[in-house]
Amino acid sequence: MGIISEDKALKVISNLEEERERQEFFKIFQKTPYQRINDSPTVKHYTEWNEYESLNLDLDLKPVVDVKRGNKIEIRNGNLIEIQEGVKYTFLKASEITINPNEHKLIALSTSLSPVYLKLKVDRPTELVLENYIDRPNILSPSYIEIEVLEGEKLKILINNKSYNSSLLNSVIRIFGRENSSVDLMMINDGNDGYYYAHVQHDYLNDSFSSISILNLRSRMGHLKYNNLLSSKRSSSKINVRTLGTEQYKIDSDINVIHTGVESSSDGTLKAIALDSSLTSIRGRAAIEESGHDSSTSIIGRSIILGKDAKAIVAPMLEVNTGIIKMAKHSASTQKFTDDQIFYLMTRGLDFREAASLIVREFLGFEDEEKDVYFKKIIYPVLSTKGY
Amino acid sequence: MVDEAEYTLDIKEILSASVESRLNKISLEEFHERIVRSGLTRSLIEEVSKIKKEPEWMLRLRLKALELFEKIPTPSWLPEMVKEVNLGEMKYYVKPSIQKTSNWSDIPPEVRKYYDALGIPESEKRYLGGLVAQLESEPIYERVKEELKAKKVIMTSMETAVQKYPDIVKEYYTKIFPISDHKFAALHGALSSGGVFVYVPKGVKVQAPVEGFFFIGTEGEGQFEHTLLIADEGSYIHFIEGCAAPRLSSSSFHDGMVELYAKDNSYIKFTTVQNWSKDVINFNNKRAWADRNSTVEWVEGSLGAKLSLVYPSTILRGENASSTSMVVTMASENTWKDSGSKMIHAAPRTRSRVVSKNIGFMGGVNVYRGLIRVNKGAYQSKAHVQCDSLMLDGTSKAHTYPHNQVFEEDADVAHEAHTIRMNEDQLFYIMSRGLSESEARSMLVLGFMDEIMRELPFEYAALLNKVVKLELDKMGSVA
Amino acid sequence: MNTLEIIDLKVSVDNKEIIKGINMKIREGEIHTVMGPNGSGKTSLSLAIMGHPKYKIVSGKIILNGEDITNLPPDEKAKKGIFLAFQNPIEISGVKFSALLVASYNRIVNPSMQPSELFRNIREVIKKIGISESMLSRGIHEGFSGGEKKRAEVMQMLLLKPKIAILDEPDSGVDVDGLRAIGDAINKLNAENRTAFLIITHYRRILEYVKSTNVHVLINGKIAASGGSELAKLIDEKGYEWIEKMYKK
Repeated sequence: MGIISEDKALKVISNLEEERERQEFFKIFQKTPYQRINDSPTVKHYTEWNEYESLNLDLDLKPVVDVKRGNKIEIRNGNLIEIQEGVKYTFLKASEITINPNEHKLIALSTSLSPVYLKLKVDRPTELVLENYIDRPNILSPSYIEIEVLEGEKLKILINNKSYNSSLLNSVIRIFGRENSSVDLMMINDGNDGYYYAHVQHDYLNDSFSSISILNLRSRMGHLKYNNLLSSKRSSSKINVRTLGTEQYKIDSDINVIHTGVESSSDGTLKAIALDSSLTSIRGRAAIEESGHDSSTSIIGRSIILGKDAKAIVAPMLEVNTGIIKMAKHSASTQKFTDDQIFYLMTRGLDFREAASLIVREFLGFEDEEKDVYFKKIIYPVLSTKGY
Repeated sequence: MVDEAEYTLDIKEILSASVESRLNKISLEEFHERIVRSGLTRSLIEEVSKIKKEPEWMLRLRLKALELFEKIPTPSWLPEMVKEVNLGEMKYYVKPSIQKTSNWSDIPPEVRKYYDALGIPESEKRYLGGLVAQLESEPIYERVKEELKAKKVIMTSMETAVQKYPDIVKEYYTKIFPISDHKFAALHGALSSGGVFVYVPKGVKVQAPVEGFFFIGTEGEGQFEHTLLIADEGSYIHFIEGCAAPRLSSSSFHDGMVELYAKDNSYIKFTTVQNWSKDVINFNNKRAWADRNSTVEWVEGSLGAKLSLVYPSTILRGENASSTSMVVTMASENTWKDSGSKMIHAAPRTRSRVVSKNIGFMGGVNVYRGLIRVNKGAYQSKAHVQCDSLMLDGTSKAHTYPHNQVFEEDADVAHEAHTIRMNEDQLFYIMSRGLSESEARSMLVLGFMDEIMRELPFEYAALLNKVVKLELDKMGSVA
Repeated sequence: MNTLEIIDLKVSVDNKEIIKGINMKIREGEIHTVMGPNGSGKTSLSLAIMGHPKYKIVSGKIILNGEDITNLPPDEKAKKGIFLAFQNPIEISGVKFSALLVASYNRIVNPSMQPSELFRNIREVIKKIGISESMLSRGIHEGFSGGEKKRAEVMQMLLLKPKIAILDEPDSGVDVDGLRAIGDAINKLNAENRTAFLIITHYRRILEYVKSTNVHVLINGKIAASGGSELAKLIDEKGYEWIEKMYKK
């Protein structure tokens, strides 16, 4: 059937601006396959695109009228409702958007149906909160946002993507930092028993830095694609992605870091816990291209499986296309905690259950205190219901 | 005397068409036409089978394989570079036991120089250089032959085996590595000729490593050679295929297959050392079955060939089975080495270990593609992969693509990859102790490969060391 | 008066008997040392006392203050005041050290202490033992050097103030400063808290800083000799072989 029928889509498009351009985008959505190349030697695709295909959703989109100012950016069911006080914004024209719809079927979908192409400009140290949520079942919520951080500026942003039972949250974001900028991104992709497809492109100019902390959970089929383009000199990133798989949820994280800038560096820790009969997949491509010489990359992928029917995939790829590098390594593992580890914790006063819980609860933690506390507030209650 | 039927196949056309059919750029019909034009037809297959006097089932298998070759899509990972290799037409030998050269001057001078530098015996030089089809008797080989005969080990050319031991061959041939697995396994199935069949009876332990290359002679060679080795319960064998010294090949395209079956409590070590001349494309499809308590060890040294794709893999079918795979590849100018291992844990308490060491210089590309899969129910299984790439200069490239798919809660899977450049401090230290730059570099490279070299019999390791040194000398000094 | 009694203890691992009948009485304030050649069963003894599942207590008893604790699980032994500093502590990379310290303290010492006060205590203790605060946010023993591991174990001991502390080779792989810090920690706890110690040592370096009241020599799973600190000197002079010979008589 498809994510959304042509009729529904075209009807909504006819009520939005730039109808012709949007129709073109929708055509791209229709003719592009989900994935051209098989991911892996056995399992065909790490994201089961069929799950999206079977949806047949509705839309609840209205042309944007007056956006009120408040203490956050709020998008409900795809409609922009509120923008944070003090933030400069514009609405881009279809010809001005910088992410190419041909890059993925669902990017084309988002660009065809997102009521506005929101562009935010950060020209002073800013803290943003973006609440992007759905509150109805069975709808598609598309959104497209670009954020530009000007030279020397700092952005701290918390993005709360929250879907809803049987709905699909389709979020496309580009964050672009100019020279010497820094971005602290925290993101939660909460399927909330629904679906999400989140695409984040993150690129920046010389001497910029970013810290990315992402938590993924509770989605019947959740796909995160994070592209970190270290295309300029001395750009660097620290990436932390955590996935909590429960029930029969399937969560796929595709984290890519491409070094084309000299002396760039990346450091990533990707972790997942698979409980019940969930499937967690941690993968992505770290690449140092010829032009990115003297760079370094280190990506660690770890998962724990706790459930007879749970499954974990860890497939980090490393491509080094120049011999002039500082460091390039990665590691992947799937392990259960060992008897010796449990014993050690028990000698420190924890009983068996407490020891197992400690390992599980701490596993998805973050080094940074603030993020550790924030994400654990979400993770712990879910783990508690599972007995950890 | 044997019928030396030879046919001309336009391999370049076959490969070009394969690359282009990737991503459905050309239709199935167009692909079929191009394949027919290249000389690969049903009638060719039928004739080949007739000349070899093969039984009905073998012919049917070949024809089915040809069908599959045309139907199965080209794997997306086949490098574009396949089209660039200077292949031209290839003579497809139905019976490979022919002399390739008639006198020394036919052997290219660099190759002759190599043989001299390596210091190999005269008789071997003649054999390697293609002057003789069979290795002239050397006493040590005779002794091994005696041991095999006494222990009733069967070792013969694949062709003879199809005639003499049809039941056992039929039971396993292309069952361990199904021809439907991928396009080039199917191509192999259609055109296979040459290769070795080995059967080790129950409880028999063959002490000395068996060097197939020297025993079977060029009868075992062939662009599409197929080796089937079965170790019956409780047996032990170390089989060595190939040779470190550069070999003159009659063909620029190899698409071989090795199938191993280690039954309960048996042990198979399969070593391949390959140093094909530079303009060769080498595909080798390798797979093993490991039953309860058995062990399969793969050792792979890939020095030569322009493009090499080899992925020794094991299916751990029986409880407590274990397998290791040690692969070392060297990629120099204009060379692409694609290697890796698949370990499938399909039973409890199975263990696997993969060590991959890749060396790249002068623009060479090393690619590791691996899969560790632990099926549900394969509890208490352990898998470990270590993949290290050493880049000797600024132009080399290394790609690592591991896939870890774990469907069992109680399993332990770990993978580590390091891509490092030659350590200048270490180079300086060794040079400060009197060694030249190239001597120091060789020392470091051999140290890097040491873990795998230790798996080879001494003479092989020694020869391999010499070959590596000669290859590295091409490098000149690092800027 | 805290007392740990080990009565006729026999322990086997993988169906092989490692401890073949040991008797020991460790009283409050005493510092017992166990020495012996490699493979004599020293570490096995410590793990068996603490309740490691692989070490099966075949017969005998472990009594703490009159209570039979032989078959209690390790966490309950810890809560009753027994502490083990491992010879080769295991790495638990996902769990932050600080998280373990907090959880452990809450269960063994004081469940209702305010986090800010607890962290003050922790900082004091790590300063005393000489490890950096950054270690608190690393995984348990993750990437620690040999000496750092030993210090980290002893640091936990200072924090948890056990009744009976078993230290398995606290002096191996530690530099002079570390040794002094560990020695100070032992003496401090012994003086202020009356903690009783069972120190397993191979090279006896720790005895340069700590006075042992009772010395035992373990050979082949049995105590071959017991005595005061003069016994330690005797071993220094004559070696284990001499003791063994004496024992065989």
